[in-house]
Amino acid sequence: MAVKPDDVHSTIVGLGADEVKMELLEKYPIKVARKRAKQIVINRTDPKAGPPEIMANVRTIPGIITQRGCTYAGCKGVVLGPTRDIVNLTHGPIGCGFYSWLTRRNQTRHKSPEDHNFMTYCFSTDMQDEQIIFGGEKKLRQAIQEAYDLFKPKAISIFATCPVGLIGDDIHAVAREMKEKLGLIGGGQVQVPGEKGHALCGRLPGAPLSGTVPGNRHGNRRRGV
Amino acid sequence: METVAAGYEFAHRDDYEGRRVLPHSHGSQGCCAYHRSTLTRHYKEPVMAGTSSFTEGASVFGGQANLIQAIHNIFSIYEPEVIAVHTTCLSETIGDDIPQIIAKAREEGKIPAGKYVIHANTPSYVGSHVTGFANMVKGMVDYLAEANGHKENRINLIPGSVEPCDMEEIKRLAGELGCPSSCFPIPPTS
Repeated sequence: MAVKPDDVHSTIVGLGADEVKMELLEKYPIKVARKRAKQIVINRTDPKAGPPEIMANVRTIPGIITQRGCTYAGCKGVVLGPTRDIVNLTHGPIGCGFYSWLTRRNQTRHKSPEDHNFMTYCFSTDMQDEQIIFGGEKKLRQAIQEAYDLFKPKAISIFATCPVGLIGDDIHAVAREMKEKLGLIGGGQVQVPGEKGHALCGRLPGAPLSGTVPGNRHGNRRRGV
Repeated sequence: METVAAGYEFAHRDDYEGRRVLPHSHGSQGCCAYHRSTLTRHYKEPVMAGTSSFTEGASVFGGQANLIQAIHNIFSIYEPEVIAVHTTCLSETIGDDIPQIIAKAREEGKIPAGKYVIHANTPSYVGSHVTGFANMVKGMVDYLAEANGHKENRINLIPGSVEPCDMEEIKRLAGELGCPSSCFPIPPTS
């Protein structure tokens, strides 16, 4: 295929843009190639139709190597996880808690030595197969109590994971109960099983909470981190 | 999710035997992204792995369609010799039967001749990463080891969950003892 003059700007290693795209798609099985073709567009503006539209925000095709995360990742890693002064508790098996341990990527400085800073901690209910079978609400209640006794935080947020979504633990009920018992502020429970959408979707359930969580006992709003 | 170390070791067999192995996480894609970024940071080089990219639908109807499609795509696009499937909490809890899915994929001709799909069960709520390492090493032996009747005067050293540098040291010690040995899984040492 000869390189047309209007393609010169998009010529890569002697190939025209269309040839590059074709070569990229060649390896895919036919059905997958059809879908991927809409996700690779040549940036050639049509004076009538305007710039081409790229297919985005769709589910990943199984088997395609992706760097996308899960809903839990968006919620724990992006929205509520990087808050310094509340305890962020992962209700799930230990893997979810460990891999979302923020460590040095999210540094923060507390205002005074008495101020809370839980950033370096990784709280998890460490579910075992017993919880998968008989339910994890009891262990969640224990974990909240333990975190409260140790740290006396002003709020605790709970993050659900895949197995919690599957076995149907009512974390909202546990959160309500413990909130009343311990006098915590904010309604920090977030139901985000990992299979529901991808990382960006995790930001949606987190969004309504941003108004309620970063406050204190006197109801004063202040910045989260 | 816990088999990441095993998957990594295994993936690097290509340094030695011209084998190319792609670890594959059968579950939602977060599990795959998390262990890839952890291993990439740890080893300071890109670590590849595939995923079945579960959605709510897969959690309800089972992950068979996802895994078969993933196997087909991976062998077509990335062309590994072996796909090493490990499960996650999600696929374990819904009860996906991996050997059955692999058998179905082979029946449908999704696994090219001479290539392998091996598996290990690795729910995060049973044991720790050490359990996952052991399960995947056992999976490799179960699927790939074949008796040929010959006896070699060699010892196979099959360690637990250790770092590549430990494997190098084990090899050195074995060499010092004058013991012909091969470490398994073969570590990325030179």
